Amino acid sequence: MIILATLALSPQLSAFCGFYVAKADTGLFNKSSQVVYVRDGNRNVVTMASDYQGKAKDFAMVIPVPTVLKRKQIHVTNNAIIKHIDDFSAPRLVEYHDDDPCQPQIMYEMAMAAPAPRSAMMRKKAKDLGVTIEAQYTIEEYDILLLSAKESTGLMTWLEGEGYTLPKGAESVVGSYLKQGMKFFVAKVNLKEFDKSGYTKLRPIQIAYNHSKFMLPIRLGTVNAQGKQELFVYAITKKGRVETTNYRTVKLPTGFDIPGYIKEKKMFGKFYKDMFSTQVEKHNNRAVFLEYAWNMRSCDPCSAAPLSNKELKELGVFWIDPPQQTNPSTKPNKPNMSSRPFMPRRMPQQNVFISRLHLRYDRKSFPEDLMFQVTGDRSNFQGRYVIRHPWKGKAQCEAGDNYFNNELPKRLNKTAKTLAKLTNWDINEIRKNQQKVPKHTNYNSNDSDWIDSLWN
Amino acid sequence: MIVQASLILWGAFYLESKLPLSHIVAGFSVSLMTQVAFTRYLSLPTNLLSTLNSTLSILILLHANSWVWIMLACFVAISSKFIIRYNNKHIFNPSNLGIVAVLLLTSSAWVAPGQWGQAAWFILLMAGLALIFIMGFSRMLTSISFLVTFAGITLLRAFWLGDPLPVPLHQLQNGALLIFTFFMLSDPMTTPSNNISRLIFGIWLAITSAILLFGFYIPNAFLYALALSMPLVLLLNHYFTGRHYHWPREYHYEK
Repeated sequence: MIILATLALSPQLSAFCGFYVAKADTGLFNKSSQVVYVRDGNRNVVTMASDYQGKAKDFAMVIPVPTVLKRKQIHVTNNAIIKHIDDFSAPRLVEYHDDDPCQPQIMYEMAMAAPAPRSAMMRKKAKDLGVTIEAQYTIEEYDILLLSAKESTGLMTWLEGEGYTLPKGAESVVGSYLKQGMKFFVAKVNLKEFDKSGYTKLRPIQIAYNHSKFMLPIRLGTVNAQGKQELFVYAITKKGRVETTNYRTVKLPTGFDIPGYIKEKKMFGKFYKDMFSTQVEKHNNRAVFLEYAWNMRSCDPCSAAPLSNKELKELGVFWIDPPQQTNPSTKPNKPNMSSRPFMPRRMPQQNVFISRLHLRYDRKSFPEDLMFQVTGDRSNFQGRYVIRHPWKGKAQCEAGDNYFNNELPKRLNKTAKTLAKLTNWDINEIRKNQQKVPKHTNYNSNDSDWIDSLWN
Repeated sequence: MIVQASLILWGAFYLESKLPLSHIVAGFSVSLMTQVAFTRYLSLPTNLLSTLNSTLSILILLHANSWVWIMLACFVAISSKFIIRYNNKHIFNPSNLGIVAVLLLTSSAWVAPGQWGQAAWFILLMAGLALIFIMGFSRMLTSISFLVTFAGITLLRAFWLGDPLPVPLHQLQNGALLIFTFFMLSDPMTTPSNNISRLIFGIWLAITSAILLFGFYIPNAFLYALALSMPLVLLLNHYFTGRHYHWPREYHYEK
């Protein structure tokens, strides 16, 4: 029997294309962020989520944007949707149980539900410094400013005058963006609205605009960062996979058999993190990793249910049909779906292709902003790792002897070596943790049966 | 050509970018059949060297969902040599035209400028310099003037923007740019026929590429720049007449 189970993995490591600046100098630094980038033609919808842990009053975000955004081009969404797209595209662990080596194999599958993945003065002052406040909005819990400036010194002086502490070295980067005609999007938390909202965590900000530039500005984020940052980009297009044009995009190693103990608590997360670090080093810290590429209408195996049309629409996938309440096949309470939430499934959505890109960057290894292109590649890719549990019953037959004495030890040795190579873990430690070969008494233990059959 | 073939092998083994066998078979068979068909029809001797060269360029740069697009690129490339002609000389760089035509026609094919990474860059630069040594400075003048001008524009732009040196250097350390410079721009048949023209053409290409890349954010800008600029070669050749290139003796003839 094959039991298929998937464990969703939610990366705790997760960066920003802008940079956080403290209202008070509280020594903030970027750690990680997640960006959902919906792109088709010149249309862009970018959702930015951070793992900001500090106090809401200290949060501020500065992002270069290609155009001045109107109020309707800015939106605030919920964190759950980011969690969902993360879970859906995360590397997955697949589990199989070996068959009884003495029994003919009857192939049928059973799904095991995986654990649930878890104003006037200001304007005048600005004008004196050559800074123009192009727009000013309060949207949900955020106060948002859109600024343009003649030169970076004025903008820096103005921001500092408004209480934003800017990292050293940001000026030249700000200057570069200004000369490229970009505007600055500054968001901070409106505490009154935040308290009213009842949210405890800051929610992702979304922006929608028309521009031919398909890029994410990461340079500001590297100015004040202490050490490397993680960035996850979930790119959603009509046509196919997204890749970086100015950095190599490589696929995460996938499809390997790994030892069974990786299934234990938090081990898979550790495996993923260490494997990722090993791969980053292997590619001289300069590669962007493709972790998932799939049409959103299906998954196999699913680490979480595909995103609904409503969720996709919320993320900015403007080309899909309106929410699917009328479509019975995607109703969450449909019995055969809810009881088997992680089995391969197909959704009625068309032409929504997701690519999950993951990078670890700093100023040295990623000096330039990330430039992207949509390719026509629609082939599926996922980070998938397999655990095969040995047969635990008795197997009194010759095939059983071969299985326990030969096949299994060889396989365990191979998975240990694979794991060591992927993660750079100590192989002796892996072997220690590895499941022992189940006890087995040879079928021909009295060693006389062979004589019985020798001349017969 | 040896360099191109080794690029494919190196790409497959080191960069883990496997070129499907179906693309290789489709590319070569269509190119060779097209070349043979046209040369027979026009009673010209078959020149396979240039055909293999163009096919390899297409295979190195063009990615596609299906081998059909590779076939089409190769067909456009080779047939353009016999169809789009002026003054007894073909106008477009065959592999460039084949690639650009397919890129414009379908979203199922693409060029991956990031695939070569930086590790490849140094090796490609060395291969390029070796090519200058083998082919001669004069023959490679378009490549050289293009690369020098493009590097100049990139560095000046960075200086104007106030970007630190690693930014423009990273922009220049692009494998696809070098493959284009040394292995596509070095085509003897479609680059201008004398030194002044080659110099001007290289500079013109660099400026056009920079405008498309930095002004319009078009990936693979230099491929489009070359296809757009080919008519300029006719003008340059008209004003600065020079000797036409002939493929080596044993392959001789212009096609």
